Amino acid sequence: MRILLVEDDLALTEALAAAFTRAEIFCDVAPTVASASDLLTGRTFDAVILDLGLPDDDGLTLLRWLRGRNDATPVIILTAKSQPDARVKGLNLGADDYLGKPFLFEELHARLNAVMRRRDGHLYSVVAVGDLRFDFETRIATVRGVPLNLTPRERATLELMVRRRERLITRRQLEDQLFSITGELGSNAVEVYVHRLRRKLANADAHVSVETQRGLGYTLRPLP
Amino acid sequence: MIRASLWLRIAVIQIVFALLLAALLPFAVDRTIHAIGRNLTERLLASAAQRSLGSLPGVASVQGADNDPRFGPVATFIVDAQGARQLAGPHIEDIADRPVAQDNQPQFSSGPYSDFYLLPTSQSGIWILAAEDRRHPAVLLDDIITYFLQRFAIIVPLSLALSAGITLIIIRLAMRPIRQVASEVAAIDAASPTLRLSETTMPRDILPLVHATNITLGRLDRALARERRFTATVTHELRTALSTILLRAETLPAGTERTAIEAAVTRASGVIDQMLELGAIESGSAELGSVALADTARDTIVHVMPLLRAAGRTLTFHCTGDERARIAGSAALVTIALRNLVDNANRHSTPGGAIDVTCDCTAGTLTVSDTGPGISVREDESGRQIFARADGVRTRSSGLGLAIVRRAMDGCGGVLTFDRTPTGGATVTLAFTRATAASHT
Repeated sequence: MRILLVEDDLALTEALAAAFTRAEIFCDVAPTVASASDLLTGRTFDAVILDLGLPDDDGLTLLRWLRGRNDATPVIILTAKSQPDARVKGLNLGADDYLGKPFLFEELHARLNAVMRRRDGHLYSVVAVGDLRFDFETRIATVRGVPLNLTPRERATLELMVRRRERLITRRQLEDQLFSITGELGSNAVEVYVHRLRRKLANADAHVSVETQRGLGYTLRPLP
Repeated sequence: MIRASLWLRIAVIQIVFALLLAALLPFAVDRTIHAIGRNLTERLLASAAQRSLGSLPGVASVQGADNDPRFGPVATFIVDAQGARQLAGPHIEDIADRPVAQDNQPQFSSGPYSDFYLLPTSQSGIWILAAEDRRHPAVLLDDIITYFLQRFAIIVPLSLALSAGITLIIIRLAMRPIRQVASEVAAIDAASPTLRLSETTMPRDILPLVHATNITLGRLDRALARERRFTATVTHELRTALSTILLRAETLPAGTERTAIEAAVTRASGVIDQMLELGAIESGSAELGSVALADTARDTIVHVMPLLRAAGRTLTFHCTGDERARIAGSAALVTIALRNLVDNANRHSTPGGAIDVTCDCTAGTLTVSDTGPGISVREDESGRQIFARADGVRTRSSGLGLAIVRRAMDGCGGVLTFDRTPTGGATVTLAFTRATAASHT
């Protein structure tokens, strides 16, 4: 999962980024509304964690702008404002959830997972494709009960494929998912991870296939 | 209303009054003079009738009537057809050259010493002769003025009363914009700080005061906004910092250290909430009315119950009396007061401790008792109440809770009292005033 954290406080950003890394959530950081809108223009994120008190503008401005261009990326508002009207305003502007500071990371993580579930139309945090099961809460993939041994990037690749199972995942979407804007990106990096994932799925004898849609991307399907 | 000065308004009203008086006075004077004339005529005729002058001429018996006091200082005669004087006021000497009346028409004439005016009366053959002796010109004038003033005297108190009434109206009219400003000022409070006094309809004399007041209001408004921004910034910074601490603590292994940090953050966060709550109460934004005490108390208890259960406390809630009884105050303030009291009891009682909440609907009181160490109340130099645990130990409490309860009770017009529970611990009673019929909405 790749999210955009819009937060200006450096200490909180560092602590959150560390917590996200531990949870294997890739996280890009924007300290201002301007930089956040730049990032959101260039690439897709699975979710946006939005602080309302930003130095250049109100976080709600970003939310309004995002929804104004028909971008349905889930947004969780993170704010120190305790008045209910601020919460109501945020939710009415199209935020998906709201969390008041201070908060436990576990709660943020749970809310993030809940928001993603809603977006993908899943009822539970465990999603099955063929005999492959992916638990979005523990981020453990199993084939017939046996856990797959995956690296974080492989897991992120599989996660996106499970989320959008039987639908096309573009190469661009995989790139956005796997690499931060600052990271180095080899020309065949996506192919490398897909290849490794295919091999591990095949080794586990999983009844799924990662089909290549030539020139477009990939699709995860259960084998008949 | 036009933006005229107060002086202009008063001047306009006074001029209108003066013009009105100038137009009405000649009528009044004219009527009075005619009334005097009629009255005088009647008296003279009545007197003549009494003296049987109907059989004029040639009645000698009226000689010597000159000094008849009933005629007063009237320079008037009654004369017969031959011009013989029959009755006269005392001031006129005998006039030798008196005229002879003709044709039953008013008639003016002059003699060597006097001027005459002959006026026919309703009795044929009898005229009234007004004569002015040119040697004593003031006599006739004195008579007329004396009569006039006697008649006119009644107009003086009347016009004085009228003048007082008009002054009252002028003052009320002049004060109207000031009363308007006063009601506008009264409507301004912390909940509506952006209100300004209307300047467009103000008289020019009051305008500087209104303008200065508006400038001051603007300054207060900006100060209030600055304070709110400051509070928002401080709250944001503190809560962000607390979030960082919590996130960092989560990297620690589960244990006493991590639990202690999380408890400290929870407490600091609670203090921030309480300070904001206190600020909200003090800004007076709660709307006062009548509150169903039993319902409000029960709702509050239902909300805090899960927290207490999680903390291992048992809470019992009793309600006595007519549950429909209402008290004066605001449901929000009652909730805040009760929630903070229960929260306090929770903090200060030992695990397994019992908290008892009793709602006496008849007396309009809420009582919260616990099994903790009790509360000691002392006053500092400024008479402010300081709350502390009776055993002097400070734990997880800033003392803000009871301060909030007291402010909330002040807001409701209620009283906060402390007592010791017979079994040890504190008993805090919130006594509200019963809602009057007027606030039953």
